[in-house]
Amino acid sequence: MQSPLREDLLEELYRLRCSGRDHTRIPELALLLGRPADDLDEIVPGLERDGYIVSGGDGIVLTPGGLEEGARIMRKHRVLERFFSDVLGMSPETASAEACTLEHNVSDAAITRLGRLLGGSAAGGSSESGEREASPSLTLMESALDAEMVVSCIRCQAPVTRLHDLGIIRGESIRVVRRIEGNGVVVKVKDCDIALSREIAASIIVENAE
Amino acid sequence: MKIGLLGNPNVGKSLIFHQLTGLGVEVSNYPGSTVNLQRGTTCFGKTKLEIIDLPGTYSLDGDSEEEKIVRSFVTRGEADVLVAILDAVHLERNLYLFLQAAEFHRPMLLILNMTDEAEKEGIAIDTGKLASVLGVDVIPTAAIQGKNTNTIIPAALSSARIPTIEVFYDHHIEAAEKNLAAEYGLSRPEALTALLGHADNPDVRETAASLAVELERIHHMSVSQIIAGNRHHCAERISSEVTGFRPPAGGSDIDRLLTTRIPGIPILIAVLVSILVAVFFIGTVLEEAIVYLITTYVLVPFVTAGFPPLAEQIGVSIILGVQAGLGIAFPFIFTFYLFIAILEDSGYLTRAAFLADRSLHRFGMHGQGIIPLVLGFGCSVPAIMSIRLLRTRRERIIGSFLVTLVPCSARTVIIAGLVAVFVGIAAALSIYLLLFVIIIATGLLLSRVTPGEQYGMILEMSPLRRPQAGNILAKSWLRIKEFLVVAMPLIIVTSIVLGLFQYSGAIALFTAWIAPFSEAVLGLPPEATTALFFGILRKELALESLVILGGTADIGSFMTMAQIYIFAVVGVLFIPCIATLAILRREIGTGMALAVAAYTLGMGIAVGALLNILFSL
Repeated sequence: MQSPLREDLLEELYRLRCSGRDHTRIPELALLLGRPADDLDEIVPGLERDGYIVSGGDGIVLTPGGLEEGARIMRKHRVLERFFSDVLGMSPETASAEACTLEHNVSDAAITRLGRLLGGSAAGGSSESGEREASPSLTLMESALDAEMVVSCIRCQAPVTRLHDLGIIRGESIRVVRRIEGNGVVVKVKDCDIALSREIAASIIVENAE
Repeated sequence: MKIGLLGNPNVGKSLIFHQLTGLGVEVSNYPGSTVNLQRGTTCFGKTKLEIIDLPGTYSLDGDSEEEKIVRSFVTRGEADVLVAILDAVHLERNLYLFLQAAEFHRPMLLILNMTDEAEKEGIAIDTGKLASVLGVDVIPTAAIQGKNTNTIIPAALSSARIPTIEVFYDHHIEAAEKNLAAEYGLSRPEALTALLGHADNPDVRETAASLAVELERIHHMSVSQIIAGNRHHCAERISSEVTGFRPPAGGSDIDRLLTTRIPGIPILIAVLVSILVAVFFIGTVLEEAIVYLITTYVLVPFVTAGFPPLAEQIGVSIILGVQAGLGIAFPFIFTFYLFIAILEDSGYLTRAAFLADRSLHRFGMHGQGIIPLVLGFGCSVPAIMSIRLLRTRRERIIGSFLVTLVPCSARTVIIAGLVAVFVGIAAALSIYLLLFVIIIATGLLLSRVTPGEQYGMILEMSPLRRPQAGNILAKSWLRIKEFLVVAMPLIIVTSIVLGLFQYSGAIALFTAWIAPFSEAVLGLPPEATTALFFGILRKELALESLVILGGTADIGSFMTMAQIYIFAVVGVLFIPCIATLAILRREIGTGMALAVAAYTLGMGIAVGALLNILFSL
């Protein structure tokens, strides 16, 4: 069983990893999570023992197992956030905050069902049975190169109108055409190439086309 | 009669503008902003025409300064005819802006540019059908070849029409729009703009905001998202109706090379370094020629003409000021502008911004910040002008600080002409190294302490194209004109003030007054510190003044190598030149300009004092 702080830490590390950062030091993590560094020092050895992370001179790195666990928690967050914003109509910030508190207490089974419900309504009623969810949500940072994707949600708040103007809106097809490790991406939307910083790319959620 | 040119960035708008107006172009600031509007006049038959090149934007809704200006230009109906320029290769995305503008029901004309490129890619557009769907005349052009652009003005005069196309919005949006329109007597586009949160009247804004909340509740989407979606769908429908076969677009191989880490980043560094080296060599040769010409044919005859002493001093100061301005403007800045215009028009600059994005994030900026930083190596003035490209005030402030620290060509003259000659090449290079360390440290520091949010980069990569010589010259000429207008009067006035100081003997007093400080803190002879102050007029003037005040060009005869080194470092760092300060004040305000001046002054003195202590150990 994971404690909320352990989950938050793994999620944050996963998020940083998606935006191209492999190593992160504890003081910075403490700042990002808004917790004293001492709290983190307490749980890091446990996480290391369980094989989720490796801590070294450059800071903390996620292991493949930790990466998987981070992705699982992140997915919970996203599914809940989409539920709050798309179905309940909350503002993106509130939705994200609510998701942050609930993600620790919800079972995987519930998330899978909720994800299926949301995925089904967004993709137009694809009723896929079995354990796999209808279409997994990824950010543009995680999307494969040259794969046809569809924008399902934009999480960043600041320059969102510019994204809309360029045609990056929900339901639009989008393709990552260039990526430099740790840098942003270039996407093709409406036949135009658009360069996005990684934090913007990491806040655009996409799904496989079809 | 006024014609406004409207369009997305990179659609060949400025090329068309220059073809319509020739070189007689005025650059003016749009009232209450720092955004430039280019205006040109031309005659057609007996009609006098004013043509205004609006800044390239993707939309009329955004919050950027450019978008606000285009919005207010269109909403106030400042032009008799709006000529919308669309890129035939990216018709669908370009129609979005056209559809927005069409809502204002002004006479319009649609220019479908880049038809040559569209043809090459095998895209066929039925312009007749496009014209009938939109309800305006459509002129297909290929501005690069000058094809059809001569028909634009006659068509704007005779057949501009109010577009008939209407975007159908979601019925909730339509209802809210009708509500607002009826209650406050607004037009349809005004009501829509109010729903998006832009309204001047506070009552309208409040009502619109409450309607917007309701709409968001129903749709689980923001109003801007719904409206943008509706417009994009309309654009998509029209585009697919009028476009026949559309082959899948593939990225070019060259583009792939330019935007991957290897060889993209080495290419970027090679391009920048070769531009700097080229500008330095071309600039030095031209500068010598200009200084020689003015000295021989103006200064010497003037001095030998024998005016009364005061008049002569003022005259000499004016000539020196003009010489200083021209000596830096044409050799260095203009040459630099030419290269930058080539980078811009070829589309390379957007790729450079993409590559640099990650590194600049550490300094609290993003990829587009590379443009002012690179420009800074040529001259700080245009570099600071280009800081407008950065979207937030935070980025502009950080950018301004860093740009003023970047060694501009004038400072390169000090380093090369003084340290490289009298101390050695390695010492000269060490000054560059020192500057880079200071720039990086300043960037890291500022990214932590500067208030405000950091937005990431959202930048359209302009297609790679062959730059057009005419367009590059016209662009560089306009920019150098802007530099001369802003900087020249200041340089001349400062030159006169310094000349009068010298005439009245204030310089000698100042030198005596500064002597204790100069010797104790910087370990420099007092003349050297006085010479440093002349550097405020134009950086390399510090070097020239040192020669004059020292009484000999052999600086090594009255200063030690350590003193020369300290002089160069302090001269390069402390207080940007007067033209830079003026531009800083215009772009980021008096307070921040003073902060930059204080920071660089403090940094110059601190580093100089530190070196003095180190060298005397």
